[in-house]
Amino acid sequence: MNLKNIFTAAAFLSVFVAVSAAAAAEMKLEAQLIWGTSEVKSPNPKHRPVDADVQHKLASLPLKWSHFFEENRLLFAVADAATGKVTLSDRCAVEVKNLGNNRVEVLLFGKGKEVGKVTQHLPRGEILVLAGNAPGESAWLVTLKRME
Amino acid sequence: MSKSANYSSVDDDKLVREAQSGEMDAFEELVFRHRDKIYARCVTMLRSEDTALDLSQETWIKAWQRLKQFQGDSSFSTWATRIAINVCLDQLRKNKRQQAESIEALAEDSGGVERQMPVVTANPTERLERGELRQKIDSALDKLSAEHRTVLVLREFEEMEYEEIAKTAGCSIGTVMSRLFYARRRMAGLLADLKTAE
Amino acid sequence: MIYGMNEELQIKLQALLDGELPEAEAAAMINLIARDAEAAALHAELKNTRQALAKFERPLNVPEAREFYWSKIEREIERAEPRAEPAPRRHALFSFWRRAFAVAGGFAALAAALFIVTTPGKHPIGGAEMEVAMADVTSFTYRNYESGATLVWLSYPAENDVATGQPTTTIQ
Repeated sequence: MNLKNIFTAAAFLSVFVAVSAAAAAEMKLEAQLIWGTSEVKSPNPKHRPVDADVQHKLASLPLKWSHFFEENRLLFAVADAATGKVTLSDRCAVEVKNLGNNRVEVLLFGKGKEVGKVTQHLPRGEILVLAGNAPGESAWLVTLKRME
Repeated sequence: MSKSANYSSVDDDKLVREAQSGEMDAFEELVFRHRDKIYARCVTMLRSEDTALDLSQETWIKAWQRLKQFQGDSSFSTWATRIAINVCLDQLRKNKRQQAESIEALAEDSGGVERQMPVVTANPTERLERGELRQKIDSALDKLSAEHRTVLVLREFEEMEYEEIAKTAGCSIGTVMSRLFYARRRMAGLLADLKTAE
Repeated sequence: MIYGMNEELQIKLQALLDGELPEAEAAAMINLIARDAEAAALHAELKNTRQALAKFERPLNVPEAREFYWSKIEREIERAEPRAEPAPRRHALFSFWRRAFAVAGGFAALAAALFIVTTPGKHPIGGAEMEVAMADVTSFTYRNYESGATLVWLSYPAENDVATGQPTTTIQ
């Protein structure tokens, strides 16, 4: 085996180790509380429309609402095997556990009570949307997006 | 482009053959075409839109599982409707086991009530506007027991013969005829806003 | 009231209307209708009711979008059926990269493993599994593989513990 092959092998190995470590590292997440409606404008002046990527992803889902407004947006990170909890409103919170290998366990809380638990594969750039009906023919959405 | 876009112009027979060979997109197109009819049938039988939605989906799951048994003796729509009816009847039987018999149900079996009702001479289709008649029919169906409503639906909406109704509902032809007679007389009275003697 | 007619005759009038009487009995009932006003009135009532029902069954539409309605059906069908491994895609990638790294000889297997481990989104992506904690809530899952979005819809009454109805919080 010559020197060139040894260096090539070492390069592959180091890249492999670095990337494997990255896979086990913390997850950067963006949680949003969103209001879905058929109205073009939100009555709340503090609302702003969701960004283009979220809009595109929500539009790809079979939701009858076409307009989505951010109520709250929080960026946070969760280390491997750790849990992070964020409060999106006085009623709504999500707790995220990093299960490793791009998997998350998400607990949704409404008024402090657990509503449900979702286990999901969430690679970079993908979004998990938990949603339900809200008063006035609208919808609440809690989104969890894996950031790049 | 997804296959479902290509299936929109394919006829039911071809879709069934494709679905029978495992093509789920073909089956999805069949579901899309006939889902309203199946759902409406479930609502009419069960009188609950939420339960009807669930059971209509259960119908499609069963239809997929039994698809290879469909020989084309009837239309696909009729075959799927029969599955829906059986799914609904199973639910109604389950409900009945959980509920006490109503007085009305007992009266119907003794065959007494309908013989006391006066004959209704006015024709509801002439007397009422279409929308109003639909609402009255809907409301009247609510007032029938599940047994009466079932035979009425199977006869009037599915056009089944007495023997087939008896087999589907799990009762004798004589019982079918009695229940149907009661159901029709009760409907006539309700559409004419008459109070029945109970 | 129907005084003169016994129950058997009344039922036969109905059977006549439904085409369920043998020919001879049908003829007898037609004669009865022609000479007996009470029988004629009852027959007419049954006929009117039948016509009303036949013409005016309420049309109803499934109150869900096509994809959403289908997604639950599809999921239940797949749950009941054994699933095949999505192997072909991986094998194609594996053999491509194996050829590409054939020059490096013994490192081809490592490179293929590298590719599978490190390239996001190439793994088969399982659906979200929802455990619902509240008795009166059910959930439906829909996934769009192209956009990378998964929806878990909770069939929750509109007045619920999560929705505010009048959103008030600010964006951070």
